[in-house]
Amino acid sequence: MTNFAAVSLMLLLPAALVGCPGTLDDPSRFFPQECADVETTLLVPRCGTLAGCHVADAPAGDLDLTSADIASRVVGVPATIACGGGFLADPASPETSILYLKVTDAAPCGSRMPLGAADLTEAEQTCLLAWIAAQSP
Amino acid sequence: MMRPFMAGPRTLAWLLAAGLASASPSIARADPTPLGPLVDVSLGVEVGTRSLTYSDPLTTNLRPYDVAAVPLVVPALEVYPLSRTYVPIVRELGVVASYGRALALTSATSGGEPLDTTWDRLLVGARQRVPVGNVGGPQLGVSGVYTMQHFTFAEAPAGLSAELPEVDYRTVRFAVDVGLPVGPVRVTALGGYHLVLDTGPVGDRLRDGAAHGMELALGAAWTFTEGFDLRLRATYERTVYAFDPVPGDAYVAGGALDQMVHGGLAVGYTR
Repeated sequence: MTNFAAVSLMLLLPAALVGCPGTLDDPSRFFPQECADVETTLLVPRCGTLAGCHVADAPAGDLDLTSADIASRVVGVPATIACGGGFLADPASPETSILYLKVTDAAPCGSRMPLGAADLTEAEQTCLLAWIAAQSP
Repeated sequence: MMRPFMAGPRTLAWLLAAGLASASPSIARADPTPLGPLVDVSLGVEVGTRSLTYSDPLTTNLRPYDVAAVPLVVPALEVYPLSRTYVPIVRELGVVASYGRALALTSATSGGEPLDTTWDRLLVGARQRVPVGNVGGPQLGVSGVYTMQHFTFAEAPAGLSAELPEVDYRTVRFAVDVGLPVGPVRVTALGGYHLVLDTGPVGDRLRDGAAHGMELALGAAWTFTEGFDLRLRATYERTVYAFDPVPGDAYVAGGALDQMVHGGLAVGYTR
């Protein structure tokens, strides 16, 4: 190995020592048990039937959040470019999922949801995060 | 063409003087020419960015942060008080210090609420010049510096301040730097590891936080007249966190990544 290579190695060694940020081994242990049925107790009433928006018949934004198997219509489904791209629900990155961001004060496009109704509580937002994280990619 | 990076007679003399081989006073005194200047002072104007993200953030009170194109003023000083003496080793030992501060930095929440923001960084420590060739050739330095870096927000409401990505880093940076003459300029590079002593709020909020930091800098200097040079420099700093939260904690995330990049131009004076 040349001296130049040795010095280069010394310069770059700190990067190897530092590594990457930590991750959670089992995120599900942090979610409250009452999140068990997010689809029927949270999404259907708060986004669909109560608000009358994301219902099966002519859903707002062409997104049906009331019919069975909601996951199949949001997990891995690309969001609009106007909303910054990404996925409606991304189990690999729940916190950047548009479905989640839209119910927070960091909605990347349009209005915060549910429109014209009470905001989701922090516990409900956490449950939604947990539901997204639990889906199969 | 880049000059070969080879140890020369000066290296041998330095090693002999250090006692790594049989030393003799005549060798230690053979070359009184210091490896570098007595004083090196510079004033730079830089542009900085910062990005902080959390990995696996499971609570809604962990705010990521991004800011770009922040102007900074960065004065720096290096003094080698014994460089004009014949005392081996320590004549190449210097005191280094620099201070950087952001100018007119204001942040905003996702709701548009402005927050006056302070970003400054202080480094004070020692640097040892190590001979690796002839004077004017390649240079090598090793340094240990104590650093303080603050990134704080003023006058935030109580609820919001508990979520802001404030840091108050206290670290010891161990670094190696090199300087290589390439044509009319001297190309410089630095790689350093930050032993993190304290992080401030971001690390304190989450349970069992551990943080490590690194720094990589690249630059070039061009002497435009006797004693004065123009320096181009860019620095990347990376601090990574790992947390070990338990159910019920107010803040839950697996880790965080705090990245700062700054670079710009400086005018330097050496003698």
